[in-house]
Amino acid sequence: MVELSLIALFQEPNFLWVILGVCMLAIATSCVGTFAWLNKQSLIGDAMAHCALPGVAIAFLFSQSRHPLILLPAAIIAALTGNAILNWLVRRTKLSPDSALAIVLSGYFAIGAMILSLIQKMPIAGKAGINQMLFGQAAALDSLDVNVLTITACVVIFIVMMVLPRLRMVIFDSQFAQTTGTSVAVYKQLMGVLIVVCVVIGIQIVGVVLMSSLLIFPAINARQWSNHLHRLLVISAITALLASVLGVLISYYFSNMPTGPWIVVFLTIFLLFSLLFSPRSGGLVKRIIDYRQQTIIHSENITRIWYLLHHKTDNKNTAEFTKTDALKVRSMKSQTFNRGFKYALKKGWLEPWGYGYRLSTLGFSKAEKITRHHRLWEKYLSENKQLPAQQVHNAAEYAEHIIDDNIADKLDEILGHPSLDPHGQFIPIKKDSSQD
Amino acid sequence: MSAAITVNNLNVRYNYAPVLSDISLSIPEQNMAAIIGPNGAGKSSLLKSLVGLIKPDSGEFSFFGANIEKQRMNIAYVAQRQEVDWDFPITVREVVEMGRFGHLSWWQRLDKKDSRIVDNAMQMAGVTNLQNRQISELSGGQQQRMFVARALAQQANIYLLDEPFAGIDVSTEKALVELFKKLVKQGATIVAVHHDVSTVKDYFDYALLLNQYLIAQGKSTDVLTDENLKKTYTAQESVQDSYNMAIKQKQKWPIHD
Repeated sequence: MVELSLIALFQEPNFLWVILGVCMLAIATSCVGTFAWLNKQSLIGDAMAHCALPGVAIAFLFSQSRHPLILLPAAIIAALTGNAILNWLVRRTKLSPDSALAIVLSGYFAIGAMILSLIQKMPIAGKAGINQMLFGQAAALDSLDVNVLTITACVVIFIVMMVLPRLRMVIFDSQFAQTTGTSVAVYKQLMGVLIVVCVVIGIQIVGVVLMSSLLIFPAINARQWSNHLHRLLVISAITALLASVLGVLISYYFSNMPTGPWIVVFLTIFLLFSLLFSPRSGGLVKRIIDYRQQTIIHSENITRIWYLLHHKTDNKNTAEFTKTDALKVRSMKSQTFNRGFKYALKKGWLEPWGYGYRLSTLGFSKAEKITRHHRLWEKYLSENKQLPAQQVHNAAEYAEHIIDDNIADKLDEILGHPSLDPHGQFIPIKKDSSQD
Repeated sequence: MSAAITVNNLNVRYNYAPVLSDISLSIPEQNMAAIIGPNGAGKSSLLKSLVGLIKPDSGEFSFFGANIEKQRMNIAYVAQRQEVDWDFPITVREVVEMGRFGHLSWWQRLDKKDSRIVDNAMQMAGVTNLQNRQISELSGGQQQRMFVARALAQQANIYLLDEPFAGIDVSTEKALVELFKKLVKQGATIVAVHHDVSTVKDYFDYALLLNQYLIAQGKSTDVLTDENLKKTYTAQESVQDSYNMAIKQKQKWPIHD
């Protein structure tokens, strides 16, 4: 039944138009939002959306029509006056930008809410649609709304693409931009207007209350994955697009569901995913990689303990040792020891033998290689960096896991193929690495 | 030799308190000039006024006898490094390319000729191998080289640099000095705010000693006398401090005619 009605949805021509409009809106809004976010104006969209509300309400009250060419200009004018008051407050008073924002946002929203409740008491046709401005209702869009929305969004995208390099310069280094004769004020004003336009056309779908999330969430999400502006714009556009389309689908499918909250729910899911898994935010994936890396290091250390034990024993025939023997050579927490030990068994570096475990051929060459790297690094530090012999061990304990064959060969070369480390222990020579 | 920069009776205030008072100076062309003075002496404010970032209270200045609007393409300004957001998503090359924007209309992109100029600028400043790096990955010295490359891409005649040698490695400092000397030989005029008195004579031909007032100006070998340095670097006399404070206070009171 679900599939049936989904197919029916897509067969409805109006629905496809709405989806198209929503896609253009998502792209335009996420582009403009990325710049607003880079300009450290995360909340400006929120303020502008709230400022637009009284404009919409007043225009509807007087015209008693929901024609987009009446409501949108009114919303834009209201938001622009809000923007002007905001700028004036910041420039002329000692208010901090966030206090000014809070004042303007709540002041305008209060007026808008008052007029909305007034409208609800009056016998005006289509007044229900005005209330939907709060949380957005994509299903309420008619084809004229969609046309206006799509065309406006395309114009916004075009303008952003045209001024992209200049806008980036102004946001990154406005002082420099000014010294090259670029009118910084014009670009900042243009940004304000673009934000207002995006917010206003988006209100019908996302709603006043949550509009700013469609501006900012995609940018924050994209930033977790890239630090290149063009890629940022693409990723944030895709994020916004997916969330919006999913939100619209759900709000169509379950009629009377507001669209805005669903879009924001999807945006939040995407953002949570990025925060958990992106490498940049030090998320889950990075932790898993770190944990695995640690396990490998532990198991390499443990394999090397067997190697050392092997060399310490005079009787070369006794090849097997117990965990207790190993822990006597190097003290480790039993938990970390077991983690590394299991990994070494899994890799086949150690194998059960007699009453304990012994090094396999593979494990022997592995340990020999690590020992070679360890002792070469010790030699390097004491010869070339003049570190005293007793200081080089700890550095080498770390370096042995980092050094690869290539670095080891270079070290060997630089040091003139040494045979003994600073402590007088032999440095294993390189074996054919094909068995590794 | 004619003057590249001429300043007459420049006065700058910040929040009513005087920052620069009655500055008159002239910097001869094809010279490397240092502006030195203690913290808060107004060195950065002087450069910022010259490039139009600060509006002076009064005074005039000109470049080769013309006003700033006519000479904009001829002036490259390099601000202190910490004045931008180093976490901004942008590559070294993209920053250097900004040096060309002043020569283009708002809708124009860089063409092949501009790209060559950018390549050349990066080459001269030694950042060619860093061109695709994100700026967040740069060391202090590399950041400064990048900004110098951007200034070079402007193909200006006058370079105004705010503390170009602050917090950078010795090799970058030496490389930049060599580069600046080469530019001067090719006809450029370089003015830099400098904080290390010991290297002024080695690096700069000309020096301006500043502490709210211009204490001295002239060939660096002539003006860097103990007496001038003492005048520049000892704290403002208490009478000057009180006078500055009084101006600030009085302006806050409503004055009725």
